[in-house]
Amino acid sequence: MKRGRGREFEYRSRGRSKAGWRLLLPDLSPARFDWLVLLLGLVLLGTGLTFVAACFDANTDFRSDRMGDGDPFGKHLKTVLVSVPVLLAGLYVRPVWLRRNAYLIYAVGIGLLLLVPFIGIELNSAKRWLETPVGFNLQPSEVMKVAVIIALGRALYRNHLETFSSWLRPGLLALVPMALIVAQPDLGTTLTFPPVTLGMFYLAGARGRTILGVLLAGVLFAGIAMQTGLVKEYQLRRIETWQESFAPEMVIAERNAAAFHTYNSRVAIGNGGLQGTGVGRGIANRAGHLPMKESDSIWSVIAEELGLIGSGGVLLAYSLFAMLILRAAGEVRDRFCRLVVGGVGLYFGAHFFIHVGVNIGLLPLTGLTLPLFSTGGSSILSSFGALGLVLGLTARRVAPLDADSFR
Amino acid sequence: MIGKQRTTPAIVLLAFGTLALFLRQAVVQVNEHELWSEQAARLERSGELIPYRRGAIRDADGRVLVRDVEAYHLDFSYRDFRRSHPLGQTAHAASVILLEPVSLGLALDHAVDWAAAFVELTPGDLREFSRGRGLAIDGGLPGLPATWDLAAGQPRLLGVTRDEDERNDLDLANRSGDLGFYIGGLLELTKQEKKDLLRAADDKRRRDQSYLELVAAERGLVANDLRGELRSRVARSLADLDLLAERMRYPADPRGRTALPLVQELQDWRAAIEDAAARRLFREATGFDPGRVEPGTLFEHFDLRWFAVYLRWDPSRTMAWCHAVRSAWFTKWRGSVALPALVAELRRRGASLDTPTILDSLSTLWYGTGELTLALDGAPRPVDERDGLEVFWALPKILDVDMGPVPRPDDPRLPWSSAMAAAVEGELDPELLVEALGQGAPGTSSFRRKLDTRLEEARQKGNPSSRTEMWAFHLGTPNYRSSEILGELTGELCDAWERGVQELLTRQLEAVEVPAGSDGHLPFREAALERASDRARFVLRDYGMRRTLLDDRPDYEVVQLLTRFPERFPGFGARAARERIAYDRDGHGVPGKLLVGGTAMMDADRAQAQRSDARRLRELRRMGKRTAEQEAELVELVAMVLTADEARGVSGVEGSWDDVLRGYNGYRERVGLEEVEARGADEQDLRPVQHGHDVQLTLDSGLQLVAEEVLEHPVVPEGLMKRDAEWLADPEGAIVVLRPNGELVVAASGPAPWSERVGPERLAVERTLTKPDFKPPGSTFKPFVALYALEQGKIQPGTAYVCLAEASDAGSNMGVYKGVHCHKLFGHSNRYPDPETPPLNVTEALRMSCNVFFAHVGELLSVGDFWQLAHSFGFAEPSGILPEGTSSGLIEHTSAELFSKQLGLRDRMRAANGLSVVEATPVQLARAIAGLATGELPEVRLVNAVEERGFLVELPRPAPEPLPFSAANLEVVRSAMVEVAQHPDGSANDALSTKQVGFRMAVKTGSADLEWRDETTLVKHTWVAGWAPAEDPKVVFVFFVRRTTQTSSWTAIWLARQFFLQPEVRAFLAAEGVPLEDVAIDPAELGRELGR
Repeated sequence: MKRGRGREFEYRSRGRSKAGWRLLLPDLSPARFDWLVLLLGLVLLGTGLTFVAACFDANTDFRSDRMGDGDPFGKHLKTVLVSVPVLLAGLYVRPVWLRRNAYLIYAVGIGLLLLVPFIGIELNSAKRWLETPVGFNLQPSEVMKVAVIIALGRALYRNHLETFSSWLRPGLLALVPMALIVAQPDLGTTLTFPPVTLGMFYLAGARGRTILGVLLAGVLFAGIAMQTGLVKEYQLRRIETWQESFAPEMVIAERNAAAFHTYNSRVAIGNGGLQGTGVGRGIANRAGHLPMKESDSIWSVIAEELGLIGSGGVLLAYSLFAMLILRAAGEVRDRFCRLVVGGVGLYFGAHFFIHVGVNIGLLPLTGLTLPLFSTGGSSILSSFGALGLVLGLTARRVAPLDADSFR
Repeated sequence: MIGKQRTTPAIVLLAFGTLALFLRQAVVQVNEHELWSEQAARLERSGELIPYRRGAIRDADGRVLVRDVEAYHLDFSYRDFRRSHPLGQTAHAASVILLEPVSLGLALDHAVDWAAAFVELTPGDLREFSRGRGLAIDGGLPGLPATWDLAAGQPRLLGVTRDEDERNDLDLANRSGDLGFYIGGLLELTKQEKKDLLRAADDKRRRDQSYLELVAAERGLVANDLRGELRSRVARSLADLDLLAERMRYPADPRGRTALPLVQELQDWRAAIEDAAARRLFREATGFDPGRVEPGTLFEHFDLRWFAVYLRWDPSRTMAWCHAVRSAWFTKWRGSVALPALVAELRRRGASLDTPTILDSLSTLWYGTGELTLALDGAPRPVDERDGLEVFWALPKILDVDMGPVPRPDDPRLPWSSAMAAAVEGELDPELLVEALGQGAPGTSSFRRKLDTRLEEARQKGNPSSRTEMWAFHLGTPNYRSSEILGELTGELCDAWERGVQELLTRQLEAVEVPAGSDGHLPFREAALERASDRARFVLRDYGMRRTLLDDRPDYEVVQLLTRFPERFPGFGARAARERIAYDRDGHGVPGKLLVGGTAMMDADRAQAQRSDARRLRELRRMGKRTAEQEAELVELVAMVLTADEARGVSGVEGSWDDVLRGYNGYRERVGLEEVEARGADEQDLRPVQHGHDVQLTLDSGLQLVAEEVLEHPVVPEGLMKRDAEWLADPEGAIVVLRPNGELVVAASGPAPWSERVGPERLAVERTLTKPDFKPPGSTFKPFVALYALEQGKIQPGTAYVCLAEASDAGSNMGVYKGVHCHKLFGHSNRYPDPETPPLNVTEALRMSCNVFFAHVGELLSVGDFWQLAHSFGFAEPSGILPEGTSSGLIEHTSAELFSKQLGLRDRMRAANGLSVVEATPVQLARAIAGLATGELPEVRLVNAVEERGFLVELPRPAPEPLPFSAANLEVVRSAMVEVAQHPDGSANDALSTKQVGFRMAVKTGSADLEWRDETTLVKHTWVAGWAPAEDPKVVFVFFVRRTTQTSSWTAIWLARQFFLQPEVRAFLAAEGVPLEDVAIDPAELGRELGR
């Protein structure tokens, strides 16, 4: 087999791919296309759409002058549809091109992040969005999540992290956007970077003990940050509230003050019981007290309305989705592609764990969407783009010949 | 695969993570499911009590005397006013800039100019302000000299801070946001405009344009036009306040503006909100109410700057707050809630109390609320088992100093400790309390004096004679006055104890070493302050949202203004309420008010009695899910438990017929939120409301009023030989008119409640059913004695006795028999110069009201005879006016002791004359007279009918009791009574003959001596009682004159005449079938204006 620069010839010689497929996706093999990941992704997307529709439908029952903005579910659906080309674009992206332009993509992301303090839109005391000419508010931090994965893939492509200095560049690649995002402030988004970064480091060959050491250093740093005022007051309160929230009576006692969000989230989830209340019939939708139920708190709605049994299934499906992506990463030959795909798997896994963990009280309260479920145009774009990359990069795989594929 | 060496651990980690999520979720959804589903149900479930309408009370003609009506209350929300009214916006914007409160009154004078100045600020100005670089208003703000630097001739830069700490302390970032909010409110920004202006702050090109210019550009207007429109709108809003104040009848100031007093009231409410919020913050930080500490101690020892800065208070304001919270704690919590509830609980337990229990209960005022709750539940804990003394227990936790040892709950230095140590279980000994307090605690002499005064008053009335008995007496008496008296006594005691506790606290605080640099104040711990600062924003918002009642009876015009134009009066609102109103008649209030009675809200005794039921009801209402049994319990309790604002009858008909008049609250539950309009909500009446029933009285309210006016303005002819001018100047008495079947048409007491003579020092007294003082009927009792004696054969119609003075009766020239004097000089038998001294028979004796004759009769009767005679005619017995089983409301005095004890000869002779041991109320006498007139004794009736399903249904009428007297004997007495009015010798002839009043009546006069006012003046009650027409009774009447110096021939009969000459009375008599002849009536004789 001839190896060309950035080109995979192996499947070209087969000649057994259907003409249509070849026309549309000439570089991908349908046999290697990860249909299960796509299917699971679609199922999760469909589930998310169902619940978002139910949430918006419930909202229309309320007398609220905020409902004068037209059809919110229609807008969400439009966003999803508009994001499909982004998914397709991910399919078409060639690994070589991606690798070569990784830092450019990263730089664009950083550039967008740097614009936010100057021309960004401020809402609820946070500046996170840029207004685009097409009337869409882009959240650069969402784009940055994928950009960092791609850049880390590039940085770790030939870096096995065997020395301390070899950690610096990839470390900085993660830390710089983290610093910019935490300053917005957006702690929730920032918290998705460490697991993805450290996960990619591990996939790139870093030793487990070193990772652990970094984690401990991170915890220490967090402790210092809390003591020295680097962490904001309200963020400290959230941590305190979280510590107390393991006792239901504390949550109930503070329900009209610091634990308002936690209380309503816990009520919704707890109300679901084993079998759930039925779609659109949970208290989160009926009472409307749960903040951001279509985005940061959507898991509470799902858990309530499907119950433990139903939402357990969704948990399994989402977890499986992320696991399949990680498994697929393990079978990709090209190191860069493997790292990117692995990073995306970690992306979905980290979001999943943090979002659900926050909603059920396992983690302190922070705002984070659940990809493929929550509303949020930028989040949808990024997750579709990331999924597109996974599907595209994994369909180019060849049987692993290299014993050091992850060394 | 080798690649899996790296991905597999990640997959495994993800799997474990998923498991952890699942398990945690399972805990919440399975283990805690009940708890959270209950909370979920509560979120959607809301219940409301549906208040009932209390029944109306109507007169005999169906005219409403009192009823429940839908009314309006005028409410005010300061937060809404502050946020939406230009006056609130400008005042608070100025407060933000000056970093201190600016009063609404000051803003009222300058709001237009200030508004114009604020909108000229730029986004850049606000940004600089938030960063502590200051803000200056061009031209300064009129009325606020602090905004203008006079020396430099330029606006002063306000809000400049040294460093970030100061910026954070002053919270400039939020203040700047607040200022932006108020500017936005003044310009009435839309949501889009707000978004745009937020962006303008970061846009260098627009940052230095004023908000006015930016908004004008946004709207496509010229800035000047917008400026003019703003000024007009603000001016209009102030004019609207003037209008509202005028409609609310506030007086205008010299400039013709009415808004200032209203605004002052709003300002007072603003201060009250801040006081309440500060009090709450203090409690959040410390765990106790600041009112528990003396103002001086609180201000000097505790560092209050942390919330004073937040509220922008200066030291004098902070000190004023210390006094305000102390006063509020004393009057509102201790005086109005805790102590009355404790006293009520003590009274409820009455007989089972001993001194240790009293001490344990009262001392809980100084411990945690948990201890007070236990005391109110009837189980106070001994002091050595209590958690800690309020305030003392908190000090080591909240203050960042070494407090040293604080007093334990059973510290011997506490003022009640020695009393507790000496108290003996099982004994009630309030003396002990007094003695224990005497050992050094100030104020006990005042307590003792009050106690002794009460004791003396009680002894005079024949009540308890020792302190112990008095305490026990008032503890066990249901009378509301007892509750008041006991409350007063315990209040004195608690005041003394409070002084002891404060001394102990002050000594404790003074002994603490104050850290350097803390200005002499004891600093709070960080944790305590953080706890409070967490709440600060919520607390201020919460208290600001609370509504205050501005007017509980706004005029219709005010209600109309607020309901038609709510957008012009933000913060003000008219709220529907229910009120019981009495219909005023001719400016005299409701006729017969003393009989109609009144209602009152629940008192402490009742609140305490239903305490556990009320608590259970609250628990059941809060439940998100209930079992069928719990639901049934809820429904039952809703009917039983009184709400705090539920009026109950406490006097008169309102009280006695409360069970009929009151209804039962309904309870409606809603599952689903109000704002969910499309889906709707599931409403269910768990208990439908049951309205009260109307009652119809037998009273003629028009006649009642006439009677009250006659009593208020009695007229006795000027030329009359014996006029009691003193009584005429301050008349007291009663008038009763009955139908022979017992229907009470008039029952008037004077002075009436509407009289100017009635006030806090002199209450209106109901005199027709009660005998608040000794009330012998005098000679009006004689007909009954005569009838009985005739019927028993003790005398015959022809029996006669001589009535002459006796030479041996030194000092008196009156007829006399065995010491019983007549009122006739030399006696009725004296015919000087005719030497004949004919005896008098019974007819003559009745006609002339001869005491000697009846003294003879009395000699013939035993006490058993008197008992029989009295009970035949219902004297001293219930007249039937009260419904069965009633315990409060109308009070009718009866006397089971009448003629129950042996009487000596003299008493029997006096009793036959209606004196000495005999008493009667006017209604009892009227009932007896009705029996005499008809031969049947009726039950007196005040309530004639009760409403049932929209119709008035007459109550069953018991048949009158036939009297055991023969027609012949009745005729003898009746004829004699006719002669009292018709015969020239009759004692009532001068005023009540047919010639005088135009109809024939049968009457008996009576005078009952009470006491000598001085050597020559004898005070007496006088009476006239009878019926008309004489031959065919249609109307029965009694006139009572209280404490006059002349006999009834000079008093009561003239009162009766005055009444019978009133046109309304004559119309009534005619309607009842009394034939009337024309008589010349001098309007001056009527004593009142006609046509009222």
